[in-house]
Amino acid sequence: MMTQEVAFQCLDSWGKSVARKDKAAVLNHYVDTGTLWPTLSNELRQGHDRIGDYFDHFLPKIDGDVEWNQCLFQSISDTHCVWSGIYTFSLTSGVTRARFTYTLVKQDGEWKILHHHSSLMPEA
Amino acid sequence: MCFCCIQTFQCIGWSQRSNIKGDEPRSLRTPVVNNPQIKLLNSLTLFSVDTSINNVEQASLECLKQWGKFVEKKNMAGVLGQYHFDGILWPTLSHSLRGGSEEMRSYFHDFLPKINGPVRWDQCVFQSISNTHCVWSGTYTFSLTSGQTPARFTYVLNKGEDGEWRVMNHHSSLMPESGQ
Repeated sequence: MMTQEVAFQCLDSWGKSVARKDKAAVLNHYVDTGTLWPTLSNELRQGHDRIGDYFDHFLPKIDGDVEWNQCLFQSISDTHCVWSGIYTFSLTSGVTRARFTYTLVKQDGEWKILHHHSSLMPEA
Repeated sequence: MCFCCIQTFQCIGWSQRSNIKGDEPRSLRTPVVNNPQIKLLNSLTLFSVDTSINNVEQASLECLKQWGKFVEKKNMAGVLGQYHFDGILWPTLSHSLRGGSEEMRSYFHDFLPKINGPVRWDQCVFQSISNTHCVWSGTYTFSLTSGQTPARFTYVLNKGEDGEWRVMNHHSSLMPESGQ
Protein backbone atom coordinates (compact mmCIF):
# COMPACT_ATOMS: atom_id res chain seq x y z
CA MET A 1 0.00 0.00 0.00
CA MET A 2 1.16 3.53 -0.72
CA THR A 3 2.25 5.85 2.12
CA GLN A 4 -0.72 8.00 1.21
CA GLU A 5 -3.25 5.21 1.78
CA VAL A 6 -1.67 3.95 4.98
CA ALA A 7 -1.44 7.45 6.40
CA PHE A 8 -5.07 8.10 5.55
CA GLN A 9 -6.06 5.09 7.64
CA CYS A 10 -4.94 7.17 10.65
CA LEU A 11 -7.48 9.86 9.71
CA ASP A 12 -10.19 7.32 9.00
CA SER A 13 -9.56 5.66 12.35
CA TRP A 14 -9.57 9.07 14.07
CA GLY A 15 -12.99 9.77 12.54
CA LYS A 16 -14.37 6.42 13.68
CA SER A 17 -13.07 7.03 17.23
CA VAL A 18 -14.75 10.46 17.22
CA ALA A 19 -18.03 8.90 15.99
CA ARG A 20 -17.83 6.36 18.86
CA LYS A 21 -17.08 9.23 21.30
CA ASP A 22 -14.12 7.16 22.47
CA LYS A 23 -11.86 9.80 24.01
CA ALA A 24 -8.95 7.45 24.80
CA ALA A 25 -8.94 6.15 21.23
CA VAL A 26 -9.11 9.69 19.81
CA LEU A 27 -6.17 10.81 21.97
CA ASN A 28 -4.18 7.76 20.96
CA HIS A 29 -4.05 9.18 17.43
CA TYR A 30 -1.98 12.17 18.60
CA VAL A 31 1.73 11.97 19.48
CA ASP A 32 2.53 12.89 23.09
CA THR A 33 3.59 16.43 22.16
CA GLY A 34 0.99 16.76 19.40
CA THR A 35 -0.79 20.06 18.86
CA LEU A 36 -4.42 20.81 18.02
CA TRP A 37 -6.16 23.93 16.81
CA PRO A 38 -9.69 22.80 17.66
CA THR A 39 -12.77 23.46 15.54
CA LEU A 40 -14.62 25.13 18.41
CA SER A 41 -12.02 26.54 20.81
CA ASN A 42 -9.71 29.57 20.77
CA GLU A 43 -6.96 27.76 22.69
CA LEU A 44 -4.10 25.96 20.96
CA ARG A 45 -3.85 22.58 22.67
CA GLN A 46 -0.57 20.72 23.15
CA GLY A 47 -0.25 17.28 24.74
CA HIS A 48 -2.87 14.70 25.63
CA ASP A 49 -4.14 16.56 28.71
CA ARG A 50 -5.06 19.75 26.90
CA ILE A 51 -6.29 17.93 23.78
CA GLY A 52 -8.33 15.64 26.03
CA ASP A 53 -9.85 18.67 27.75
CA TYR A 54 -11.16 19.85 24.38
CA PHE A 55 -12.60 16.47 23.46
CA ASP A 56 -14.35 16.36 26.86
CA HIS A 57 -16.43 19.25 25.51
CA PHE A 58 -16.53 18.25 21.85
CA LEU A 59 -17.36 14.51 21.89
CA PRO A 60 -20.73 14.92 23.69
CA LYS A 61 -21.83 17.07 20.73
CA ILE A 62 -21.16 14.24 18.24
CA ASP A 63 -24.20 12.52 16.80
CA GLY A 64 -22.99 10.41 13.88
CA ASP A 65 -20.15 9.60 11.54
CA VAL A 66 -17.40 11.91 10.33
CA GLU A 67 -17.73 12.28 6.58
CA TRP A 68 -14.58 12.96 4.49
CA ASN A 69 -15.55 15.34 1.70
CA GLN A 70 -12.24 16.51 0.23
CA CYS A 71 -8.76 15.15 0.95
CA LEU A 72 -5.48 16.42 -0.48
CA PHE A 73 -2.18 14.67 0.22
CA GLN A 74 1.28 16.25 0.42
CA SER A 75 4.32 14.07 0.89
CA ILE A 76 7.21 15.15 3.11
CA SER A 77 9.12 11.90 3.53
CA ASP A 78 8.52 8.20 4.22
CA THR A 79 7.71 9.17 7.80
CA HIS A 80 5.88 12.50 7.44
CA CYS A 81 3.03 13.82 5.33
CA VAL A 82 0.20 16.35 5.28
CA TRP A 83 -3.49 15.84 4.58
CA SER A 84 -5.73 18.87 3.99
CA GLY A 85 -9.38 19.11 3.05
CA ILE A 86 -12.95 19.21 4.28
CA TYR A 87 -14.85 16.94 6.65
CA THR A 88 -18.38 17.04 7.98
CA PHE A 89 -19.30 16.42 11.60
CA SER A 90 -22.76 15.26 12.59
CA LEU A 91 -23.34 17.30 15.73
CA THR A 92 -26.38 17.37 17.98
CA SER A 93 -26.87 20.94 16.70
CA GLY A 94 -26.80 19.77 13.06
CA VAL A 95 -24.42 18.93 10.25
CA THR A 96 -21.23 21.02 10.42
CA ARG A 97 -18.66 21.26 7.63
CA ALA A 98 -15.12 22.14 8.64
CA ARG A 99 -11.66 22.48 7.08
CA PHE A 100 -8.77 20.34 8.25
CA THR A 101 -5.00 20.06 8.05
CA TYR A 102 -3.26 17.07 9.59
CA THR A 103 0.52 16.78 9.73
CA LEU A 104 1.24 13.10 10.31
CA VAL A 105 4.32 11.28 11.55
CA LYS A 106 5.09 7.57 11.39
CA GLN A 107 6.20 6.60 14.89
CA ASP A 108 7.21 3.00 15.68
CA GLY A 109 5.48 1.89 12.50
CA GLU A 110 2.22 3.69 13.29
CA TRP A 111 0.95 6.92 11.74
CA LYS A 112 0.09 9.53 14.35
CA ILE A 113 -0.96 13.17 14.36
CA LEU A 114 1.84 15.67 15.00
CA HIS A 115 -0.40 18.68 14.37
CA HIS A 116 -4.09 19.07 13.57
CA HIS A 117 -5.80 22.32 12.59
CA SER A 118 -9.59 22.22 12.29
CA SER A 119 -11.67 25.28 11.45
CA LEU A 120 -15.23 26.20 10.59
CA MET A 121 -16.05 27.45 7.11
CA PRO A 122 -15.37 31.21 7.21
CA GLU A 123 -18.07 32.13 4.69
CA ALA A 124 -20.84 30.02 6.25
CA MET B 1 22.37 36.48 24.99
CA CYS B 2 20.10 33.75 26.22
CA PHE B 3 19.58 33.44 29.95
CA CYS B 4 19.20 29.67 30.00
CA CYS B 5 22.12 28.45 27.93
CA ILE B 6 24.48 31.45 27.78
CA GLN B 7 24.63 31.52 24.05
CA THR B 8 23.62 34.18 21.61
CA PHE B 9 20.68 33.03 19.51
CA GLN B 10 21.46 29.39 20.21
CA CYS B 11 18.93 28.71 22.96
CA ILE B 12 16.56 25.87 22.27
CA GLY B 13 14.80 26.35 25.58
CA TRP B 14 11.73 27.96 24.10
CA SER B 15 11.54 25.83 21.00
CA GLN B 16 8.36 23.97 21.89
CA ARG B 17 6.33 26.94 23.02
CA SER B 18 7.10 30.58 22.76
CA ASN B 19 5.18 33.77 22.96
CA ILE B 20 6.51 36.27 20.52
CA LYS B 21 5.45 39.85 20.49
CA GLY B 22 6.80 41.84 17.58
CA ASP B 23 10.55 41.88 17.56
CA GLU B 24 10.91 41.10 21.25
CA PRO B 25 14.44 39.82 21.98
CA ARG B 26 14.66 36.05 22.09
CA SER B 27 16.03 36.17 25.61
CA LEU B 28 12.70 37.50 26.86
CA ARG B 29 10.68 34.64 25.50
CA THR B 30 9.34 32.05 27.87
CA PRO B 31 11.27 28.79 28.03
CA VAL B 32 9.39 25.56 28.46
CA VAL B 33 10.22 23.42 31.44
CA ASN B 34 8.98 20.15 30.01
CA ASN B 35 11.07 20.35 26.85
CA PRO B 36 13.29 17.25 26.91
CA GLN B 37 16.10 19.30 25.41
CA ILE B 38 16.07 21.49 28.52
CA LYS B 39 16.99 18.45 30.55
CA LEU B 40 20.00 18.00 28.34
CA LEU B 41 21.00 21.56 29.09
CA ASN B 42 20.53 21.05 32.81
CA SER B 43 22.64 17.93 32.81
CA LEU B 44 25.56 19.88 31.40
CA THR B 45 25.55 18.13 28.07
CA LEU B 46 24.89 21.44 26.41
CA PHE B 47 27.59 21.08 23.81
CA SER B 48 26.29 17.74 22.60
CA VAL B 49 22.95 19.31 21.64
CA ASP B 50 22.44 19.37 17.91
CA THR B 51 21.98 23.06 17.18
CA SER B 52 20.80 22.33 13.63
CA ILE B 53 17.28 21.95 14.99
CA ASN B 54 17.65 25.40 16.49
CA ASN B 55 18.84 26.76 13.17
CA VAL B 56 15.78 25.26 11.51
CA GLU B 57 13.63 27.09 14.00
CA GLN B 58 15.31 30.46 13.49
CA ALA B 59 15.50 30.28 9.72
CA SER B 60 11.96 29.02 9.27
CA LEU B 61 10.58 31.70 11.60
CA GLU B 62 12.21 34.28 9.36
CA CYS B 63 10.14 32.90 6.48
CA LEU B 64 6.95 33.60 8.46
CA LYS B 65 8.07 37.08 9.46
CA GLN B 66 8.94 37.86 5.85
CA TRP B 67 5.51 36.61 4.80
CA GLY B 68 4.00 39.05 7.31
CA LYS B 69 6.06 41.94 5.98
CA PHE B 70 5.00 41.23 2.39
CA VAL B 71 1.35 41.06 3.50
CA GLU B 72 1.73 44.39 5.30
CA LYS B 73 3.23 45.94 2.14
CA LYS B 74 0.43 44.33 0.06
CA ASN B 75 3.21 42.95 -2.10
CA MET B 76 1.46 40.21 -4.09
CA ALA B 77 4.61 38.81 -5.74
CA GLY B 78 6.41 38.82 -2.40
CA VAL B 79 3.59 36.99 -0.63
CA LEU B 80 3.25 34.38 -3.37
CA GLY B 81 7.04 33.93 -3.41
CA GLN B 82 6.89 32.73 0.21
CA TYR B 83 4.87 29.68 -0.89
CA HIS B 84 6.16 26.53 -2.55
CA PHE B 85 5.05 26.37 -6.19
CA ASP B 86 2.57 23.60 -5.36
CA GLY B 87 1.79 24.82 -1.85
CA ILE B 88 -1.67 24.63 -0.34
CA LEU B 89 -3.61 27.37 1.45
CA TRP B 90 -6.72 27.22 3.61
CA PRO B 91 -7.44 30.97 3.64
CA THR B 92 -8.68 32.98 6.62
CA LEU B 93 -11.68 34.34 4.75
CA SER B 94 -12.56 31.82 2.05
CA HIS B 95 -13.89 28.28 2.16
CA SER B 96 -12.17 27.32 -1.07
CA LEU B 97 -8.90 25.39 -0.71
CA ARG B 98 -6.17 27.02 -2.83
CA GLY B 99 -3.46 24.97 -4.50
CA GLY B 100 -0.60 26.67 -6.35
CA SER B 101 0.23 30.28 -7.10
CA GLU B 102 -2.69 31.14 -9.36
CA GLU B 103 -5.38 30.02 -6.93
CA MET B 104 -3.57 31.75 -4.08
CA ARG B 105 -3.27 34.90 -6.16
CA SER B 106 -7.04 35.03 -6.57
CA TYR B 107 -7.43 34.89 -2.77
CA PHE B 108 -4.78 37.50 -2.01
CA HIS B 109 -6.23 39.70 -4.77
CA ASP B 110 -9.27 40.04 -2.48
CA PHE B 111 -7.44 39.86 0.86
CA LEU B 112 -4.50 42.26 0.46
CA PRO B 113 -6.67 45.36 -0.20
CA LYS B 114 -8.21 44.77 3.26
CA ILE B 115 -4.80 45.04 4.96
CA ASN B 116 -4.19 48.23 6.90
CA GLY B 117 -1.08 47.65 9.01
CA PRO B 118 1.50 45.13 10.22
CA VAL B 119 0.88 41.47 11.00
CA ARG B 120 1.40 40.92 14.72
CA TRP B 121 2.70 37.51 15.83
CA ASP B 122 0.99 36.74 19.14
CA GLN B 123 1.83 33.07 19.81
CA CYS B 124 4.22 30.81 17.91
CA VAL B 125 4.74 27.12 18.64
CA PHE B 126 7.47 25.23 16.78
CA GLN B 127 7.42 21.51 15.97
CA SER B 128 10.45 19.95 14.35
CA ILE B 129 10.19 17.42 11.54
CA SER B 130 13.68 17.40 10.04
CA ASN B 131 16.43 19.75 8.91
CA THR B 132 14.29 20.60 5.89
CA HIS B 133 10.73 20.57 7.29
CA CYS B 134 8.92 21.93 10.33
CA VAL B 135 5.56 23.14 11.59
CA TRP B 136 4.69 26.49 13.16
CA SER B 137 1.29 27.00 14.74
CA GLY B 138 -0.16 29.83 16.79
CA THR B 139 -2.02 33.08 16.53
CA TYR B 140 -1.46 36.30 14.60
CA THR B 141 -3.44 39.50 14.35
CA PHE B 142 -4.19 41.19 11.06
CA SER B 143 -4.79 44.93 10.89
CA LEU B 144 -7.67 45.06 8.45
CA THR B 145 -9.62 48.06 7.23
CA SER B 146 -12.52 46.58 9.24
CA GLY B 147 -10.40 46.43 12.43
CA GLN B 148 -7.96 44.21 14.31
CA THR B 149 -8.60 40.56 13.45
CA PRO B 150 -6.93 37.79 15.48
CA ALA B 151 -6.62 34.48 13.66
CA ARG B 152 -5.10 31.03 14.15
CA PHE B 153 -2.36 29.73 11.86
CA THR B 154 -0.54 26.57 10.89
CA TYR B 155 2.41 26.69 8.51
CA VAL B 156 4.19 23.57 7.28
CA LEU B 157 7.51 24.82 5.96
CA ASN B 158 10.02 23.27 3.59
CA LYS B 159 13.63 24.26 2.93
CA GLY B 160 14.28 23.93 -0.79
CA GLU B 161 17.46 22.88 -2.52
CA ASP B 162 18.23 26.58 -2.93
CA GLY B 163 18.35 26.88 0.87
CA GLU B 164 15.21 29.03 1.01
CA TRP B 165 12.35 28.22 3.40
CA ARG B 166 8.94 28.24 1.78
CA VAL B 167 5.40 27.44 2.88
CA MET B 168 4.12 24.09 1.61
CA ASN B 169 0.89 24.25 3.62
CA HIS B 170 -0.81 27.18 5.34
CA HIS B 171 -4.08 26.94 7.27
CA SER B 172 -5.45 30.21 8.61
CA SER B 173 -8.74 30.49 10.49
CA LEU B 174 -10.73 32.98 12.49
CA MET B 175 -11.19 32.50 16.24
CA PRO B 176 -14.22 30.22 16.62
CA GLU B 177 -15.27 31.55 20.03
CA SER B 178 -16.77 35.01 19.77
CA GLY B 179 -15.67 37.94 21.88
CA GLN B 180 -11.96 37.15 21.65
